[in-house]
Amino acid sequence: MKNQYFKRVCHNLQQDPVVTLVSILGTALSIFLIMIVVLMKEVQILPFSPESNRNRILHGDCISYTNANNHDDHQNLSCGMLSETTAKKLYTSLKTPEAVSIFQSSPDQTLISSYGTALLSVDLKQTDDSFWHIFDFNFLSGKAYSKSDFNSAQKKAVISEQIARQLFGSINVVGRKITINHSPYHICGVVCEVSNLAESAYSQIWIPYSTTDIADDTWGAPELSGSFSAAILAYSKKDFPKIKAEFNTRSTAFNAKLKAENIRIIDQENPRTQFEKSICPYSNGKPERSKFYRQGAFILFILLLIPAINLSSMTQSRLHRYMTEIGIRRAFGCHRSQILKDIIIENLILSTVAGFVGLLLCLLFAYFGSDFIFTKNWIEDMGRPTVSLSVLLNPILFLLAFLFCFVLNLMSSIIPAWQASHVQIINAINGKIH
Amino acid sequence: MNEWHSNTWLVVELLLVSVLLWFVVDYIYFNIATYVRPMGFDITHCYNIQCSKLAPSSPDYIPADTSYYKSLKRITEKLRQRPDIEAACLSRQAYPYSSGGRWSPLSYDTLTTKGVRFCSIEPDFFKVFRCRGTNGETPEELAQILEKDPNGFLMSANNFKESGIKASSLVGKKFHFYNDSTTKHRLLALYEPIRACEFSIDPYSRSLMSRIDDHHFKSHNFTILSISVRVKPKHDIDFINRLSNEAQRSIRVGNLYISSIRSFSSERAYVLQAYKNELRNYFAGAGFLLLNIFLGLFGTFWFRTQQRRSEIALLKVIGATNRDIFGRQLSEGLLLLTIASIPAIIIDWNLAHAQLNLWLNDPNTLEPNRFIASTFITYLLMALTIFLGELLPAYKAMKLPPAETLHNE
Repeated sequence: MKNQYFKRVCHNLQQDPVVTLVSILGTALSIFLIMIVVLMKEVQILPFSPESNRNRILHGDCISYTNANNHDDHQNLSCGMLSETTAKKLYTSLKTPEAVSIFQSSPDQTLISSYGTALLSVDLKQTDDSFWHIFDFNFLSGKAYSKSDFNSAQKKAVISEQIARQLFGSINVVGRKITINHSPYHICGVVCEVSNLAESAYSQIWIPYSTTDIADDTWGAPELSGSFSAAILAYSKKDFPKIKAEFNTRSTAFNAKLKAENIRIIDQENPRTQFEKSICPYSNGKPERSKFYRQGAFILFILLLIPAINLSSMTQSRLHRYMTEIGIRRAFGCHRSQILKDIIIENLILSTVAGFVGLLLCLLFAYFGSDFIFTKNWIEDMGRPTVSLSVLLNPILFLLAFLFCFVLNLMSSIIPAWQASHVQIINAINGKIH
Repeated sequence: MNEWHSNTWLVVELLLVSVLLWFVVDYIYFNIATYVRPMGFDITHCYNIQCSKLAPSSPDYIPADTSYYKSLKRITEKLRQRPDIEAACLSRQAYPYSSGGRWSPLSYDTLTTKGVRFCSIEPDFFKVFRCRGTNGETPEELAQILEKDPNGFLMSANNFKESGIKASSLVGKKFHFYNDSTTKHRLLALYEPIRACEFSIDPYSRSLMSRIDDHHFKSHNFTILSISVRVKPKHDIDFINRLSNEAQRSIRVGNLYISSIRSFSSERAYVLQAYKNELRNYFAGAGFLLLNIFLGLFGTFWFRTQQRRSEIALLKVIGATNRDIFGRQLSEGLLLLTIASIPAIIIDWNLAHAQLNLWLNDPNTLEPNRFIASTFITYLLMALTIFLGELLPAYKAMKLPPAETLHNE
């Protein structure tokens, strides 16, 4: 039975090469663009090193607050990152999670040097020791700074492979000295390059924030704003509601104390899951899930509908050739539903081949053109948005591609197939549609 | 009969794509029209310099030094004295393409306007960024005006537009900032609006410039202050590396040192990335729509040429020239486009009223020139795509051997 479908498809290619090719190109183009759109979202959500725990992480990135007597959540706000004390009060004290880390939200561009080398401008991120527990970096040599290193403000630094090679020409540099902000640090570990798509973990050098006075750099009344974000690692996703509830209790208690200073923290649905963070990266609003779904559905619908209309008319053209054959089959007792099914399956084979071509083009484009597609808004660092193979070759991507092929095929072949299977037998045998 | 069906599909597709393409073209038109407007400043040969504080654990740390504002002023002065620097100024979140900022209401008597960007600057700011006054004042003259009256301020000429008052009539009057009605400041002069970035529209480009002094910030929060310099053109070679290396030895004051030097073209690239990404998406959308039309027309008319072989052969036999055949094929597609365009333009008109894309000049006003341009460009793009899609099938029809075809039929 299956042979018959493949034979028909090959026959199509021979009889109507141009129209069949145009159908394949149309489907491939549509699947290509749809999968690029899907990938652009996936890189923000799917896990990859060093953010392999994305499914278990909640982000407490920001805070927004206003005067206690201002009841409008959208006017006269102060928004931004948290100060260290605020982050500790709201997040570190949580009991449900496996680990909580406080770290500098975005890396600073800093000048570093080593003995005998010129100054190098690099991205520097200041973190605590729990950071290394939550984010899984790939250490090429050495290890991260520990809790005791952090508590005693040991001047240790973890550097990326590229920086190690630029400064020393090798990755076996544990124990070597570098100067960061005119202070001497010792290298304790070297890690693989990190893509700046890993927004929370990305940097080129990491140092303990206890070795600088970044925690004193606060503003807003009373010292709520600063340069820190929090990341929470749960034992499992199921703990998220419990963690959020625990956070809300702390937040309410904190707000009660702030009332005395005429300040009110606004609930912007922090801490956020990876998905919520991806649809609302800003500090001055809540994640709007319904808006995201509506916009996504609209874009996907357009990307499917326009090629479906094209393919529909082309399918009708191709079916014209087979009217006589359909007529004879119907005359010998073949049901309309069988004809319908056959036409849809034959088109599905064509769509799948075309979809495969589209997906392949998408993966190649995403891998080699990642700078063009994935460069993020409002990111001011020196990293590159490289996509890891674990994201590109994710089975979800392939499943989605097949699903869209199927939907596109259904949308484009149902009407012509219906019409073809409902033509009067005598007209079909005579090669007339009507 | 079959062609009626096929034509209906085509008209529906052309209508749908026309409307979507119109929306994309209108968005791109708006962005290009905004991009080409004057910026109000010049950032060539300009650099942005950030200072940091030594950590207490650093061997060079001076515990007694806490006057960071004075140190920053001294560093700015040291930079100003360098032979390769034309002008230097310290400012708070005021430089072009700055992503942070403060906004304040501005009030005179009973007149108030909101959303004015509040910039604290040294007078040399105008010299660094070559801003000009609305009465033809040079950057040097604007700097002098602010130098003479430190308590006064300057503002961009596009403030108070919504009140219908000419900003020039307010020069010399006394205003107050924020909600502090006790301290009054005299408006000294107006300058050409400084736009936030190339894609920013007028209402977001209103600002005022006030003299910076040390009570504007807390002593440990100096990271929101930055030093902007204009380098003399002939000295602008490898400036960042040169200054980075020299600064470590010669430009350190107290606990402060220069920690980052960025060119303004980098600052600009950082701010524009978001808009570029959005435009990239819209261009990809337009390309997708037009490619679909191309493929659709190509496939349909290729098939039709095959179906109509006998008709075309007959026309040739009775005297139609090759050009006639070619022309007939092409005009069919254009006729379908014109039919689809009539309802499309009506839908576009309604979309324009809904103002889903931002306005260019005044809010909630339909801009007829923009509507005509967007509609015309959309029609032109679609017509061109249809022409290209039909080219090969029409050529094939033209080359049909009439006698052979009729014989075979």
